[in-house]
Amino acid sequence: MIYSVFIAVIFSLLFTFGQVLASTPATSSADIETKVKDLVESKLSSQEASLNQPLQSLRGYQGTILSLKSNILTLESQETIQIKVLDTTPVTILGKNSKISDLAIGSTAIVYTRQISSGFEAVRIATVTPPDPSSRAVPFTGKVDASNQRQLTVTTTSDTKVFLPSTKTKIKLTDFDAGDVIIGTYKLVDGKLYLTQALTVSP
Amino acid sequence: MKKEVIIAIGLGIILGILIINGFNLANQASNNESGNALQISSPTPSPVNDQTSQSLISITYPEDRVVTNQSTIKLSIEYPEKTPLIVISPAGEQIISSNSTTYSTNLDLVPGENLIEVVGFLSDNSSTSSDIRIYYTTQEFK
Repeated sequence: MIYSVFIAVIFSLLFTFGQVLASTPATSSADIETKVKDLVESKLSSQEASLNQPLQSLRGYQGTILSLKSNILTLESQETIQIKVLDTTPVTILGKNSKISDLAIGSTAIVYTRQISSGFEAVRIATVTPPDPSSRAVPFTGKVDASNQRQLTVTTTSDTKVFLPSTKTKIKLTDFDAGDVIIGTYKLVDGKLYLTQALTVSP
Repeated sequence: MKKEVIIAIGLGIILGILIINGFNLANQASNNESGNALQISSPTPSPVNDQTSQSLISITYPEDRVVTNQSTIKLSIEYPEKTPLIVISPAGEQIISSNSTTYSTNLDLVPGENLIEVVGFLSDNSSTSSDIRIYYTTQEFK
């Protein structure tokens, strides 16, 4: 009697498994390959994300140090911000390891910050040489008046500019014809304008 | 005897269904877990903070003031005019074009602050611009 019941249970179990397996769509080898690939990619991506996590949560501010009082550093950046610093905050002064107390008022620094409930907290401070604004390219647009191998004359909305070829780019001034409307960039060096990028937008 | 066998068959079927449900629940939990991992690995870039409200140019990636240890970064821009854009960075200048309103380019970074300025010129020769700051460092952070 017990033996019969046991056999009946086993057969019923097998029957149920069989029904469910039959209703489940077969997984092709391509599906398995895709799943494995996705799984490996997700693991690799999550590992990469975890490696970059400290950086992703950081924000940088470059500016002039206005004051450093009671563990609060005031930095004049695009806006004036106050950043909490700790005595243990790593500091480099022009690349050399230093201490918070070595930071000079008026020096330019990049402060790497992390947001905390009360504002920002510095995780690293590095003083740097102030950027030279004159080394930055200036955008322009205008109509070409004349061009030759040595110079390009362009009338912009404000004035007429004479550009010289820059040795750092492969732009040929003769590629532009009179009447072309161009956009581009130039750098001002010793009172002369050097063309660093240019593109004709309409003839 | 017949009654007991019928009860046994019923019990077997119920037990089987319970086991199969258990398998299904375990599979579901496993799938959800891998879905979460994918979500973490591809964070959605959020718009930058430093753009003027009047600018037609929107730098959609990366975020303003982001810190990276990679020497290049992909810049993504939205600009409805579809005309060439000038990208100025400390490492150099580029003029980029696109057939759609989405522009992208790879930028070389210099160590420290990289002020990235994107400028477009409109048909009346006026300009529109947007900028972000990217900080490239190889220093370690805890």
